[in-house]
Amino acid sequence: MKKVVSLALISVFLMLGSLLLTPAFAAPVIKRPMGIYVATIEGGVPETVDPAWCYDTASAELIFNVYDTLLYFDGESLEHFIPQLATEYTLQEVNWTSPEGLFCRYRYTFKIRQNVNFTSGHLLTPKDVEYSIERGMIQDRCGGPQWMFYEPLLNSWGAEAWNIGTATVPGPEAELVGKMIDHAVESNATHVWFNLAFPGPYAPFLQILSQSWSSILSKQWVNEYVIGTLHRPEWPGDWPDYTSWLAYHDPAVSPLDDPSPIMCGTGPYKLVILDYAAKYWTVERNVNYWRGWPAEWPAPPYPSDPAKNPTPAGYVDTATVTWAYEWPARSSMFLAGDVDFCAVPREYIGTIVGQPGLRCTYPLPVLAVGSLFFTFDVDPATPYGTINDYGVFTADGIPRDFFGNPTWGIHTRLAFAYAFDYTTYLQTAFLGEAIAPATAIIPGLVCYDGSIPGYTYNIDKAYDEFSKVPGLVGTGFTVTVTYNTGNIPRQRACEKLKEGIDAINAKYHTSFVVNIVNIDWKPYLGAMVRSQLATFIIGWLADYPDPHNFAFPFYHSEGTFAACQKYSNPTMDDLIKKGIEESDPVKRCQIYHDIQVLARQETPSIPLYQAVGRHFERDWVVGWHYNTISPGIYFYNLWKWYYVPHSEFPDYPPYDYSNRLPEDVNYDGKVDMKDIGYTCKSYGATYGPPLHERWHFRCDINNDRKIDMKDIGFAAKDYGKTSSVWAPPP
Amino acid sequence: MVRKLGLLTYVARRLILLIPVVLGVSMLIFAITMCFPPTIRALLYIRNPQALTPENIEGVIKKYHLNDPFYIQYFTWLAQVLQGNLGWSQTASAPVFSAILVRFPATFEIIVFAAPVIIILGLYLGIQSAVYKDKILDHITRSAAIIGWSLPSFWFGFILMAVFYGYLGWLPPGRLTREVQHFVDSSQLFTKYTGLYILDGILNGQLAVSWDAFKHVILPATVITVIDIALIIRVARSSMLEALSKGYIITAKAKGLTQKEVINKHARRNALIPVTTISGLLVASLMTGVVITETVFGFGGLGSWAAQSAQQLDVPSVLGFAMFTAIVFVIANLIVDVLYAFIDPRIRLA
Amino acid sequence: MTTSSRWEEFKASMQPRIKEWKFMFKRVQESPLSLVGIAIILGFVILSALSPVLAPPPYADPFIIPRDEEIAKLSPLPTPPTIEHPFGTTDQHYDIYYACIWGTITAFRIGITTVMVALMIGIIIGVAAAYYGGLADEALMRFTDIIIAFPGLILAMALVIAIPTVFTLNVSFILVVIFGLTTFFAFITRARMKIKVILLIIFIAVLASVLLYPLNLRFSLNNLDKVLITLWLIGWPSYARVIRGEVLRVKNEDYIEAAKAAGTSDLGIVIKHILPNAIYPIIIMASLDIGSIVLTAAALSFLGLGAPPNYADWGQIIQRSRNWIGRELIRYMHVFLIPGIFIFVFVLGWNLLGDALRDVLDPTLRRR
Repeated sequence: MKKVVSLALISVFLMLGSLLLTPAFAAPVIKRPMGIYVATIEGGVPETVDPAWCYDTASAELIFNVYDTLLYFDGESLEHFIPQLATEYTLQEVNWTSPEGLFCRYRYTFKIRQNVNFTSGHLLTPKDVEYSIERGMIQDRCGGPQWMFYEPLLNSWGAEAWNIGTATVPGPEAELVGKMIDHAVESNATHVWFNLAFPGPYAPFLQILSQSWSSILSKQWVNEYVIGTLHRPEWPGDWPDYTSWLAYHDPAVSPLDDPSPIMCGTGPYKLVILDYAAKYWTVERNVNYWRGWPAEWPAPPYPSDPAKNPTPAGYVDTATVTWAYEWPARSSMFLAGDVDFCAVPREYIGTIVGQPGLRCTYPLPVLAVGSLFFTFDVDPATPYGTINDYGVFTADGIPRDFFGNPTWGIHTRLAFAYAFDYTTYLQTAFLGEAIAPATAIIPGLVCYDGSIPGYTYNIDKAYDEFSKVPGLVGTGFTVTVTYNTGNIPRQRACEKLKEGIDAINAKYHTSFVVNIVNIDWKPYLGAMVRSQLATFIIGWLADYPDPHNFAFPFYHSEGTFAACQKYSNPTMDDLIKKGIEESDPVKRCQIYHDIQVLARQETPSIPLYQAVGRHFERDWVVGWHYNTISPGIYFYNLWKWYYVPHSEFPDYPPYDYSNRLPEDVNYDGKVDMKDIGYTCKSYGATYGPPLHERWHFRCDINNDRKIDMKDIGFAAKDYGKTSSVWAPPP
Repeated sequence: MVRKLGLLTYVARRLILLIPVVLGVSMLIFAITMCFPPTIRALLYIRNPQALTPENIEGVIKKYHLNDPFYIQYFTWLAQVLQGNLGWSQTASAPVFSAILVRFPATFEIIVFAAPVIIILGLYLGIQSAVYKDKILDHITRSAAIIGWSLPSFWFGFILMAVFYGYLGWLPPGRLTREVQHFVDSSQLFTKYTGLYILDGILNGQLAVSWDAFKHVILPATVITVIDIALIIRVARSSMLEALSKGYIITAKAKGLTQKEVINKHARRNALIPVTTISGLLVASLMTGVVITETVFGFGGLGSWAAQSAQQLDVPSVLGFAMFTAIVFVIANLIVDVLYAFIDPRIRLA
Repeated sequence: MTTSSRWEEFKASMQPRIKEWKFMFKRVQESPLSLVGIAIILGFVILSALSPVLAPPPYADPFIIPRDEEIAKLSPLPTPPTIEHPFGTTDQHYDIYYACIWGTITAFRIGITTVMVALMIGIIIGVAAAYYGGLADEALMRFTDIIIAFPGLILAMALVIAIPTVFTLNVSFILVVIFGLTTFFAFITRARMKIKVILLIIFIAVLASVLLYPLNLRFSLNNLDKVLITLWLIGWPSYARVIRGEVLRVKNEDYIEAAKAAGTSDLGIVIKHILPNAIYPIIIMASLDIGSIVLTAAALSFLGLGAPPNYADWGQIIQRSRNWIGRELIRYMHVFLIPGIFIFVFVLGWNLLGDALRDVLDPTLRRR
């Protein structure tokens, strides 16, 4: 017995000792040459896979890799477009009146690309384009992106602008709206055209058509598969009458999401799985993608120098985005090379920047702002906090109109504005890499007015504002502020707000309680749309670089945020409408100045941060470029340098290289002077890090991360032998 | 008068006694739900996301009598639960019942790895340390057990992850490596028979999948093992000591049997029995451990889902999970009692 | 002289007990593990007693961790230990030393109050169940079983989200209920006339106050208070079980029969005879329980359900600092290791003590 024990002890000590002697983790090898792994914040679950529903970046990242739009931004530009599903377009002044009496001055016509197939096998026709846009406009879910179609095409903000009633009881204007939607987008065998009822050539229209909500679905696929096989309640696409569309208007959940997410697009990737339980989604390459794939792997001849604007010499076979990991696990995986892209909260960049093998891009201009929103009429059915009836103050909750009461609501909002320490917050949460704009019309937009004063931090003034609310200071309140899980800067903002309110309590002996709750992205958006979040922090990324795209969602009563907040000011609505219609730039900026002044007065939301962007990736990823409006990573442009040990091949993917000689550097089937010549060209390069500029992985025959005499020696040893010719992977 | 009952009768009796406890569990959960206002309780009756509109919530409140006296509500709620409707989980975007089913295999995988090691190794170490009482082995075992039981599981888990993944890179977090996950999800060669990746890998003949899943399950299982093994060691040791001090052992020694024979023949079996009494504690401790370790290692099972739901105030999920663990506990106790009766006939007597 | 006879009687009756305690004390001294445990606990007690001296609180509420805003603005990264901050700081520049020192008091508070409440409730229920037997016993034990069926952390999670943040307690009503029940039991258990009269008077007084001038207290609970209340609500079942077992064991002994024959009230029997003999397993259990209660509370803080972000609580500091573990194991090690070591050593102390006590107090192992 004693022997066994001592043996066990000795072996344990030996093991521990060997652990300590193991060298510090060397620079990692690229573990998979053809797959990209993105780790985003925990809780960053996509809300939907339905392009007509999607209005958030997490869902859009998935959608724009799987679906195509008519055009897309050319690289980093926001003004120039490359043709995708549309090969050419024209803008004409047609002065056409629709049968409903809608006067359309302008018309965009697009010629649709031929011989494009959806992943279901159906052929793309202009009918599909018409179907996709009309379907979106019919769906027009509350808080969704469809207002960007209603505005140019029907000169309105949504279907509810008319009296359409419900599916069971259609209103008097339901038929009219149906007909208008039908005639807004038309198609024939080769072209699609949009009739703009907007008085003007709506400048952002092309930008709207290049983003996820303009993705093209297949009408046949919907009819055959979604409606036919799965029997889901989706609009079939024809107009037998003009009131049945109401059955598909503003559903509680998209039929493409419930009960399971399904996608079918023409894009470079197709969805393999979206797993809410295991928290990731994976797409794999659509081999029949109409644009083709840039290069085959491994690529003969040599790829060009990656530093100088490479033509893609590789592609990505599968891509996965996961939100399963919190920061400690995520950062370890990123530094270990298991993950290629990683969401790094600004506070922790100190541990990431400067590490070997990473590429950190900074600064990136971003047209995005994060704000603290107030809901003017909170739904009492909310699970987040106790909500009393109108005007009823209790210590354990807030009244429904706490922020929205017409008489004194402004005081609570201003009090919260005074209770937030902006400068400290920007320093600690963003390390100073952000500013706090005064209104949602942020710097970087045309007509930004820098003369409007921002919000300040003043506990005493906050208390004064609270005192102006009759009955509040004596009773106290408990409010729940929410942020989406994993977003550390927003978490810090909630904590800062709580600190400010606690400071008021400490000084004035009040009992104001702030509870902080975090919610996963998907239920977060759902709760926001149902007005269940009393006060919440969320961000907005520009859809197109125009102040209207900020003014409308934030301040117009039918805008995404204002509608959920139940904020409505007819003067503001009027100004915003005038702002988009005005063509004279000077007059326009005057209007937007008025909008900003009014917004600063009313404070329906407080902009907290407009941060300069940062991007982190492993240095073996090639081809990522930045576009201000892009919601996520577009995998089609990417490929990876990789280091594949020839001696031990991974099992996945199951490629067979049993007959290949590694010395056959140029893959021509024999080992000869050309191979030695190529090896000499890369002589002396090392894998690094950093990657040597002449490094080429195929010349490193013995896998020792150096190209030296030993590698030439191998080539000499097998000189003249033949090798099997390389064949592309299946 | 002493009647000798058969094993089956004993099992039947225990099963019947199970019912009041299960009902009691449901009553406690129901009592907790009554702390919430009707609008949140309505979420316990919804099965699909289309019903989340305010009008629909009103309808649900009326339909399930959520404003009526609590005894009426209890029976409507119980009827729903028996039909498998535990409500809608916001965090899982699925009904609570299917969310539990989907996440169960991951948790089960950890437990299936931790529990046998805990029991077998714990028994062995406990018995050995009783036999060699107050010698070095005894002190080391007891100290190690106490140290393990005192460790905060989350702290220990993070340290293990930092050492074995951050520093050495051997054992990554999560359930599977990315490309193995892709293979498992999309390849025609792989069918998910059980959802337990190690078992599925063997069933499909893809041992690499099993190996990868095993590498990921080791650390969470280790954390749970290190912490919970103290329970078994303690009980095994004390019951072995008690058995060794019994009269018949001394008699056996007096008869001339060697130490080893004494242990093997007499003491050990009698020492095993009380271990079954703390199995309930062990199950409880396993479920608790799973909540923490899954969160730390990003494992994607029931535990991390429950933690996430509690943070995000997702009431139906937390309550569904609580009820699930209680039922598991009760069933585990039943199984153990039956085993107990099997081993020790004295228990079966009325 | 009869005036001192009662005292003499008492001393005489306590003699064997005192001898027993002396023997136990000797055994405890001999066991090294228990000494280590006791030393650790004493160390923490001294630490918490001296905390105002060791870490002077800068704010009115001593449990708010101080931090230097100016330095935090410059760099939110954790800083290594210095003279000013002996254990370093976490991100946002919270002082770890302060948090660990005052966290000791928090830990003691959580552990000891929970054990006290659990003991109270457990003793009442266990004794009532065992002493009166029959239907009451069955009902109470089933109720206990139901609560035991839920693993502690999970039931705590469910309760923490269920407890409202602010609630008003009608204190008078509760007092009426408590005193009403106590009076009722006094009458049932044939207590002495003096006690019955006193209780009756108090009950009538409280009843009058409720009707004339009800007292309402409003409590505002932060998350840590909710955790505390939750632990109180779920901590007692194992105690009730053990007490019941012990009472059952002792109930039928001869000396109990004798006391009953002598006319001692039920309550008197319980207090004088049953409890002192049943107390040893409880002590062991309490000592081990404090450790696991503190661990549960830390786990709840770690999951985000416990103490608020700037509160001096060990679990809370670890929750804050967990984002700094990763491959940079060495650089930010202090942020994570030090609070964890505090928890670990604290729980270890109580576990060592409990384990050693079990050895010492175990009757079958004693006299060998």
